[in-house]
Amino acid sequence: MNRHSLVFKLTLFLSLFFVSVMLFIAFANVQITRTNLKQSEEDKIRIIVNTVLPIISMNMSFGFDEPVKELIESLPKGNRNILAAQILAPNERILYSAYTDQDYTDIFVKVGNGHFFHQSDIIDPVTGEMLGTLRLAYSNTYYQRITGEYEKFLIYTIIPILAIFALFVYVFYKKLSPIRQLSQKLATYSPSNESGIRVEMMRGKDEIAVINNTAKTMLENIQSYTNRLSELNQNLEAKIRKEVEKNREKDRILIQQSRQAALGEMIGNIAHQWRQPINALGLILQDIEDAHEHQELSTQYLALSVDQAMELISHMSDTIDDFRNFFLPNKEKDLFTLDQVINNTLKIVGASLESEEIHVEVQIRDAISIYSYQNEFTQVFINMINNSKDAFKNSHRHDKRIRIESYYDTPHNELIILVSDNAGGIPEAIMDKIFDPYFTTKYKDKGTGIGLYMAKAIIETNMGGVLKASNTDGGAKMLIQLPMEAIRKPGR
Amino acid sequence: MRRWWMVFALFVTLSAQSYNENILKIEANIIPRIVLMDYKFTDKLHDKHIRVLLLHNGMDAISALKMQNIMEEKYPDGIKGYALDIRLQTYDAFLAHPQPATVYYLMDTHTSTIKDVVAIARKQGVLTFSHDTKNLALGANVSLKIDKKIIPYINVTSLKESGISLRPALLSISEIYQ
Repeated sequence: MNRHSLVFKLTLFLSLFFVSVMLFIAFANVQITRTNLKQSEEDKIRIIVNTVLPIISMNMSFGFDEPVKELIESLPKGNRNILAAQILAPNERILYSAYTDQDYTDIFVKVGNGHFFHQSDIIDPVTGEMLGTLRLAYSNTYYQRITGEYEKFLIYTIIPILAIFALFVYVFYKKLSPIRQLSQKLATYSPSNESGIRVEMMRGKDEIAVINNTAKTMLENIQSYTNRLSELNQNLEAKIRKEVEKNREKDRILIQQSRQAALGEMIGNIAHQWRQPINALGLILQDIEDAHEHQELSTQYLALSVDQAMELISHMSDTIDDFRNFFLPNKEKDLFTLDQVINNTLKIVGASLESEEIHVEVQIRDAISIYSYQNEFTQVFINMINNSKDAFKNSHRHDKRIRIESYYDTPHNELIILVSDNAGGIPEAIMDKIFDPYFTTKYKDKGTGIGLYMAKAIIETNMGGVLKASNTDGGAKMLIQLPMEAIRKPGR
Repeated sequence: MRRWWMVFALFVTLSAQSYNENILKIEANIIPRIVLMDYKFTDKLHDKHIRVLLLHNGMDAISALKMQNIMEEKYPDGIKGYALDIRLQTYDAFLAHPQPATVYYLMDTHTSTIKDVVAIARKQGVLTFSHDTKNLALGANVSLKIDKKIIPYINVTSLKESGISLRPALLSISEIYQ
């Protein structure tokens, strides 16, 4: 039997309780009966003594020996329970004595034989003097017989009661057997076990049948729901794969859109980058033409002009390389520094910033290597700087400044990058929306609303960092927190 | 004269009742105790003494004297703190001048004398103890019935007429005279 079983505990408790109560009742009954019986026997002795003592004392007072002797002798004869009667003088000498049997002559000496003993002083009713002592030995046979019979009666009563109780426990145990079996089955039940457990349907409408049958129904339902859940899970996995694929497609589209938007920016930037060298190249060509007309085009002069033109073309070619490098997707992570990222960024957007007379300040306190996708990280800076540049268009400020600073936050073991401007800041009303996709404050032809969304996605999803926006006194501030664990190259 | 004296002595000797000394001793022992069994015995003391008056005929003077001696020997210091005043008086003297007492001990005499003494005692409410149980029929209160065993013999009717109440303990060992 399982000692944790409720049935076992209940049965054990009931058994112990019942047996304890029965034993207590039996013990208390025997004790009370013995006490009462003993009291009754002592009362009998007291009645006898109270009856004979005045007669004895009166006769002894008058000096009538014969009545006293006759009375003493009559005691064992008249009541077989009186085993011995003695009258002692004040000096303990036996004056009168009578015994049921000669075996009892020394009964008052051999104490501890279980008999009742009584002793009373005989006082002279006339003078109040002590005349002697009356001693009685009273048989305990009746007392023992009655107590014995009562104990037998109790035993004969308790045995059937215990038998009935045992039967009750047996019936109780058998009756709860289905619950016990059900609990054992439930203990080993697992919905994932396809074979499940078999619970028999019970007839009847009592609580046990209801519990058993309800459990059976519940198990069947659970099994049914489990099967359905399993099917749903399988479908769900397919759905999730499909949704993930959709999301990836969406991201690809977003990135594509972002790239396209960036491409628009880039073309503008390339135009800015190339405008000056193209002009210079044009001037060199005009100068060659003029020199030729004025017969000044010497070989040396032509060579110098070609060198100057080739330098310009080389510079323009570098610009193209910079843009091409940026648009080449990083397939693998590589190790780079924030300096590199900022330089790349400025190569791309520097010309447009110059044309807008926006001054960029860079302060990198701790040179920390970053292991990630460099182009994506560069795009983050491009997006943030472009946002600042656009904000300056509405600010009408003359001292346009973008400040980039970074440092290592030792207590939190993370790289902090702050990109701030003095372009007036972000209106509080839209502060919580600026990272939402397709949210823009620009005209439709100028903004896609995915720049900051992409920046946040790159920082938080791809690089494991945090990107937050806030306002400073005169502008906006972007905070990038990159945990060192996320940007450190494994094994370094 | 001498002859007449001898005749008188013989007459007295022959007429004198024979009193068993053992019985006298028993009675001497019992009489003061029976007095104490009277609920109102303290009202009947004389000079704080239990006065026992032994009434006798002249011819029983010796037995009466013996009775007095036995009682004095038995109770030299009195009983229960009460001293005993044991006196002798002849019936004739008593009838002429009744001497008050706590208890009257009646020795043998004529029936009429007993009746007279009993009448006086009843008036006084004094207990009468008779040597002879026959006197209970004449109104004496207490006597001793001497058979195989000795037991007090009490005339409850005469006690009631005398206004005397004895303690139940005495009655429990006594036989009631019907």
